Formats: sequence, C-alpha cells, structure tokens
Amino acid sequence: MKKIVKPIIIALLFSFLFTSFAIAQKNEPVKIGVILPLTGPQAPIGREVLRGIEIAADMVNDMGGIWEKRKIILVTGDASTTEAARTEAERLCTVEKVKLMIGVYSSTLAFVVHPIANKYKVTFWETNAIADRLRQLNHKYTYFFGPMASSWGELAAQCVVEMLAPKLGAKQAKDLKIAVVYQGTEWGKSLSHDGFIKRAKELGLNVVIDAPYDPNMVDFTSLILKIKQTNPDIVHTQNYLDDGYRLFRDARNNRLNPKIWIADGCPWAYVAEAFEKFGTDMNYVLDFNQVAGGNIWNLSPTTQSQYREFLERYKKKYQQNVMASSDVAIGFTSAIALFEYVLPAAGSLDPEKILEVADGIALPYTATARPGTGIKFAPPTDKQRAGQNIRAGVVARQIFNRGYYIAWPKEIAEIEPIFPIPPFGQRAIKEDEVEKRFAIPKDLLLR
Amino acid sequence: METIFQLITTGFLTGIVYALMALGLSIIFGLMGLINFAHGDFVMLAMYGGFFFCHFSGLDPYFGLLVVVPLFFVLGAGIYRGLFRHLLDAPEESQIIATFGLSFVLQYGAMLFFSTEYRSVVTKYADQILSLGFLTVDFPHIFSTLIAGILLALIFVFLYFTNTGRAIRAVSEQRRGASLIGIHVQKIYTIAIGLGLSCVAFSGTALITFESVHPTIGTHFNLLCWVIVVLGGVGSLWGTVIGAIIIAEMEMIIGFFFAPVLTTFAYFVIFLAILMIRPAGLFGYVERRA
Repeated sequence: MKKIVKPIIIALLFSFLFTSFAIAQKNEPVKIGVILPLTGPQAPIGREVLRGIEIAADMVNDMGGIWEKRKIILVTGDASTTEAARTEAERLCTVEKVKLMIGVYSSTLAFVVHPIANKYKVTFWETNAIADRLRQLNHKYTYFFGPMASSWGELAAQCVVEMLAPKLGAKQAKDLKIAVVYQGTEWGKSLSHDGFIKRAKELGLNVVIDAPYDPNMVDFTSLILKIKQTNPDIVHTQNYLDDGYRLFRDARNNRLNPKIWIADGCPWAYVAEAFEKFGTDMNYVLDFNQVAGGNIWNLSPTTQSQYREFLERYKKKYQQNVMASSDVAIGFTSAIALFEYVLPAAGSLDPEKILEVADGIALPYTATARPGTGIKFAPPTDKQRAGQNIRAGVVARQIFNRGYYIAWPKEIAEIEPIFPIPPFGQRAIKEDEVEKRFAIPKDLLLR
Repeated sequence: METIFQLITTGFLTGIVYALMALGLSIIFGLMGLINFAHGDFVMLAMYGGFFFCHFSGLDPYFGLLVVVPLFFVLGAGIYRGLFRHLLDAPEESQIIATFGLSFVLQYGAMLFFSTEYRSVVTKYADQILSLGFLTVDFPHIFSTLIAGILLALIFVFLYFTNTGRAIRAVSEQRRGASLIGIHVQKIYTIAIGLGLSCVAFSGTALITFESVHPTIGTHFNLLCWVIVVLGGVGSLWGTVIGAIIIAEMEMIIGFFFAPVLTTFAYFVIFLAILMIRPAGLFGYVERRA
C-alpha cells in the first residue's frame, strides 16, 4: 500500500504545483516598458505621449485585458537626456526584464535607446521619432508607427504644388520663391533637406534659401534678415520649442511677412503656450504634422467609438481637451494599434511572434484615428525603411483661433484654407468667418 | 546698408541682454574668484520670479523687481552662508563639482515645484515695434537696455562711491590685506554674492518679457555667460558688457554673412582663442588674490 501512496502523493504535489504555476502565469500582468522624456526640456510633449499610452492601456484593461484577461501594466523610464535614456533603457531591459517597450519620442534619444532594445531582443514600438537614419539601422524588432522625416518633408513639397501654388494664383509652382529654415540636427536635416528640398527640386520648385541653424541661437534676427532679402512667397520651417518661439518672435519683430508660413513638424505650433505668446498672429499658419482626430466620416465605426472614448477619458482625467496638444493622441493611437491589432494576434511578447504578426498586417486608413494613416510595416530586409509603417500619413492643418483644421490632402480636408496670410498684427479672424470655410458639417469633426 | 545697420543695432541690444545675464557671474567670479556653474539656473529662477509675480499680481514683470531683487539678495546671502563660503578656499575642481550639483538641484527643484511646462508673460508691449527710419526695434529689448543701463550705473556708483563698494574691491584685490585693515571679509562676501544674485534678478525679469521659461533654460545661458565673462576679462564689469556686445554682434555677422548653424561654434572658437592668447580676457587683469 505504501508503495502506491507515495507516488500518488508525489504526483498530486507536482500537479498542484504545475496548476498553481499555470494559474499564476494566467493572471500575471503583462509588463510593458514606456520610455519617454518625462523631465527636462522635452518633457511637456513626452508626458503628453505617456498620457495617451496610459489611456490606451486603461481602455484595454477595462475591457478585460489581453490574452485571457491579463492586465497591462506600464513600467516607465525617464529619458530626460541621452545619458538618462541609456541608463533607463538598460534598467528596463535588465532589471525590469520587459520584453516590449514603447517610446521614445525624440530621434536623438531613439539613437541611444533603439540599439539597447535590439541588443536584448526587446521589441520596440516607436511612437514619434522620425529621423530616416533610425530606419536604416535595420533593427529587426523595432517598429515605427509614425511617418519618417523625409517622407514628411516630401509630402509638404507635394502640397506646395497641389494646393498652395494654385491658392496663390501662381501660373506654375516654380514661380514661387521658397525659403527653407531648419535646425541643423538629424531631425531637421532629414525632414527639410533630405525630404522637402530634395523633393522640391524634383518638382522644379524654386528654393531661394536653404538655411540650417544652430538650435541654441538666442536671437534669430540675422537669419530673418537673410530670409527677408530673398523676399520669399513661402517660408518652410522646422523647429522645436525654444527655437521655434524665438524664430517666430523675431520674424514678427522684423516684419517678415511671406504669403504662406509652413510649420513642418514643429511641435511649438501646437503647444498652448504658443497661443499665449503670439495670440492671433498664430492664425493662418499651416501646420504639417502627424495628427489624430479631425475628419472622421470615413473611419470604421469601431475606430470612431474608440477615439471618442479616448477623448472623453482624457477630458475626465485631465480636465482639458485633447486639442491642447496632439501628442497625447499620437501616443494613444500608436499604443492602441499595438494593443489591439498586434499583441492579441501574437499571443505573447515573443519578438519573433510579434514580427510574424507585424509582417502580415495590412490595414487601411479607416482603421486608425490618424487621418490618412493605415498600418503596413516594411520588412526588416528593407535597408532604407526597416520597420517603417509605410501607410503613415501627414496632413496640413491651418490654424484659426486655437483650432486646427485639415486643409490637405483634399480627400480628407475639413476646411478650404485661406491664403495669402495677412501681415503680423492683422491676423484676427472671427469664428463665423472660419466656419464659412468648413468643407464638411461641423458635427463630423471628431475632437 | 540698411540691413547692416539693422544687424548692428539688434546685435547691440542683444548684447546688452547678454551683459545683463553675465553681470552677476562677473561679480561672483571676478570679485570672489568662485567658479559658479549654476549661474544660468539662477537666471532661470529669476525668470520664474518675474513670471509668478506677473501671474499673481497682474502687473508688469518690471514692477516685480521690487520683490524679486530683495528676494534674490537674501537668496544669495543664504547660499553664500550655506555653500559658497565653504568653497572659497577649496580647489577649483571642488567648486566646479559643487556648483554643477547645485545646478542640478535648482533644475530638478524647478521641475518639482513649477513643472516642466513652458511659461511666458504677455505684456502690452510684447509685439510693439519702434520704427526709426529704416531701423526697427522692439520694445522688450528697449526696456531691457534701459534696465541694463540703470543697473550698470547703480553698480558703478555702489562699487566706486560707497564704503561697502570700496571694501568689496579691496577684498577682491587682496583678501588677507583687507582683513588686516579691519574689513569683515565674510560680511563683504555675503554682500557681494547678494549683489551678484540681485543682478541675476534684473536679468531674469527683463528676459521673461520676451523669452519663455522652463527648468532647463539656464543650461545654455550658463555657457554663454562664461564665454562672455572670460572674453571680457575676469574682474572687469565693463569688460563683461563689451564682451557681451562682441559675442552678440558676432552672432549677427556669422548668422547673416556665413551660416546660422555655426553661431555657437564660432563663439567657442573665439573663447578658446582668447584663453590661449590672453588668458585674463580683453580687459581683465592677472590673478593676485592672496
């Protein structure tokens, strides 16, 4: 009898341990690393992106979580500087042992963080960083949900030909004089030089000044006077917060009044602070950006209701509208695509399984709340754009009274844009004048 | 030609703003020999001072000088007692490390208490331009130039026509000698640091009328101020003003005639050249502190 009892007890013990382990794993939360600049000069935007990712995780968790009711928990790392980014990425990979990270917003930080994730075979889901060269690092498990810088700039050049030249009554787009001003950084060169100027030349546009500048400049008068000498019809700018404010301030002080002011990928153009500083002088500026919300009539019902819920949650949690900055929406739309389309199909955080799913995914632009953005990733074998969402779009929005209205591409335009832009000091416009320009009924705008 | 005059005028006004920022550092470094790498962060704090004064009172930031300047004097005295006093005779490396540490404390403290949001003040004259023929000058720069002029005159009168001012100069030239003739050195240093930070209060208040403030804005100002002080000459307040104008004019020339991307690079080249050719700066004198 003893001979039988002993093996039975051992077998029961093992089966108990195994079941406990399986149950424990089933209920164990799914840990995801979020690495963003949460302090320092880039923090205002980094924290907004984080808020968007948190709301996406909350929505998934409130629906019961992923993979048989497992909750998502986010572990954050603060990439305030490149040194901090390096340390925090190492910590998330080795101490927290995350298998997937989201972030990192800035291209400069991405050059530090992406190789670390790649070293540990951790999947990296990039929300914002747009520098082209990041795609050429050929990291097998890194995905770029947003557009790449050069294609961003290329689309802006395309817009000059398709929309702006006819608006200004130019017989040919090449009759327009274009000044291009940008930060002498990786991001600036990718977007403005390798993207906008290269494409502008292919299209036969007349770029009269190609001016990279030092982002630490305190006064931009010299640059503004240099631009003024060329008497441009269009000023195309790419900048960040401090330099963007200073450039615009000195353009106003020196009365640089082109017919069109393009702020291409400039975060300052959608930070509430800009409106405090410049008031109605911000009106008529054409902001080129990756955005979320806006014109929704052609989105899928699921995407519409999901995005509405996000807006409501944000308003409830932070007592403000998402319009204050679209980076929160960028964070949300990036993260929800990952949580909804990729992870459930992958079934685990195994980077190979995620790669398999990402490789096969092909969704139209109705599937995301980013106007003009669908999902399809370039394979790791693509040397120029590995991991790039090749269906990521950029839109041109014209600013009126703190509102942003999509003006291009025409297929999803919300407003008939107004050009030429009046001189500084004369840009006040009544709300009903703006509403007269709506290309679609107001209730179709999802904000 | 009109553009050249405009460049020179803007360079001059920008130089005055730079001088306003660097004066406090010039006093602290020039008179006491203390290497302070937290100077830019004190400028940042003063900008917050101007912002919060304006935010809560609804008055123009320049009225805030009545509050911010005394506060910064007291802050300077407190920091001297708590930290700088212990660094005066310490090796230069210790001064650099300690003030770098202070810089981080101030930046992260600002993040903690003021958040990382950009903050700015909108004055009635923010977008007002004075046209003088073909020249245009914005009012925030005109006011900051006036403030700098007043401040320089006050410092000059204080240092050269008051007993305390003479005592500060005496201590800066020969600390031990000054002590032997009965000057209370610790008290004089407390006043000198208070004076230096009061200058910072002036500059921060002027800056907030046309710049946004955030916790890390001081980092770049810090480097800029050091270049100006070394270029102008250690211990020379007028050298600081002239050094600041040279740097600003050079930025204008480089930005307009060459490449705007090279401005910081160019003034660091000048900085290194001055260190090699004339280590005491354009108007400085050789160290003789005992």
